[in-house]
Amino acid sequence: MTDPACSCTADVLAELALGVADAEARASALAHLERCAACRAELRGLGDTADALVALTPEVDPPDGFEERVVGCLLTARDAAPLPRRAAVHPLTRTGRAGSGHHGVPRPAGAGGHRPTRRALTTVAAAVAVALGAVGWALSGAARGPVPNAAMTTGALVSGQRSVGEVVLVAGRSPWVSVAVHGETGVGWVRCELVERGGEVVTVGTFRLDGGAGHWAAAARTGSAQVRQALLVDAYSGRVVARAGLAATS
Amino acid sequence: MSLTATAAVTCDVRRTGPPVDQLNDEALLAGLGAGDPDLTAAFVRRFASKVYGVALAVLGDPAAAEDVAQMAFERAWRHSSSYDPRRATVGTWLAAITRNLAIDAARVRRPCPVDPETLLGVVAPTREGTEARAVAGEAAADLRAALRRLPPEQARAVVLAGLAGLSASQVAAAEGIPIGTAKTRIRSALTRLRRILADSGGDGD
Repeated sequence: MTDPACSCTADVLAELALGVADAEARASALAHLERCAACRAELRGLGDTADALVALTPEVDPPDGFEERVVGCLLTARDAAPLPRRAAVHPLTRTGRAGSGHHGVPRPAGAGGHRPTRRALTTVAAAVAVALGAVGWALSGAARGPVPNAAMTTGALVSGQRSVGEVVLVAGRSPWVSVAVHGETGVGWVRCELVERGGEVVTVGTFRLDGGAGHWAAAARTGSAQVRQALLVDAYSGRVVARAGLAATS
Repeated sequence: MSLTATAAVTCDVRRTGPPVDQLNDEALLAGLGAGDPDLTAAFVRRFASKVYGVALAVLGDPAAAEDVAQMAFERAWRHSSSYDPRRATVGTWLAAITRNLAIDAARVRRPCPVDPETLLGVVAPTREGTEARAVAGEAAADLRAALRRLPPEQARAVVLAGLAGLSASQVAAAEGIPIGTAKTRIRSALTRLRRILADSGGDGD
């Protein structure tokens, strides 16, 4: 933080991270944050801390029937409205996440309007995400909704002798795959491939691992009954960096 | 925005493989985003107590907390693709969503949602036993301990701002202190908490 403005901004970073900075301080700080990577990094760290603080709140059992009502409403809403739009790139990375943008999903218009900081910061993140979208992915419209009698298979992602994540494949009319990578695979961009029983390889998409980790979901374009293996392939070298057996059960 | 319709839950999906409750949080979130009934139900079941607890802590009103908790799940469904596992666990992400919604609701309802002492009580040690807590684990324990080690006036300031969403001027009014003092307490407390999280390896940076 060599910019003299850093010291002024530093005074309000905590309030920004907590989402409680007043409008004047926020406007001033945002102008500085746009050009100061150090302050953005500081804000992001404080935002993560603010989130962790909230997560300490004790759990409380909701009233009877709450879970059933919520699930019913979600499924009703799903059937009544288009599925939420998927980002061009699943936000695997924190690259574009300024401040506390991670938890900064859009707030209701008109509510908490004096705290749009997270939205504003997230706008920067969105621009970066779109830029990354050139090699990204989107859930296709065909991936909407579950189907009755869908089959699901899971498999541990293994790199060498290490378990580095998990693959979940949901078959049916609109099959989709979820991949979570927790290990240090040491690769940036990877191509996710599904290997069918007959040997045919179906490419799901290309994704970025940040620090060797990431998580995404995408249309599988195949079904678990035909898939025996999922591969993560280094997008540049073509080397298989992790694989998961997905032998279907019935 | 809020969901008002209710419907009986019928999950006629027949699956092979492991029970959905054994899937990791990210897979359940992916299923929620895809509208999968089984995974949606499992997601809600796994996080209902967390979400409701956050909403109740901020609002102090069971009925309002239930409404906000439901909105939080809807928000998570609509924005599941924005989740970044490198920043936080699914539970932390969801708690932050809930907190934002609850604060918005609290502002509509009353200037100061809950008593400061009540808020301080919500960061006390919690009951044992859930997977989410196991994941949060050591870093959460460190953060909770760090909160208790803060000077009480700093702990109150950061909890009032962080959980109740009070601005520095509102914290100043609630505590009867100058606004500059409130700002200093908030900044000092959050910075110190961040440092402790980083030292424990839970900050993710």
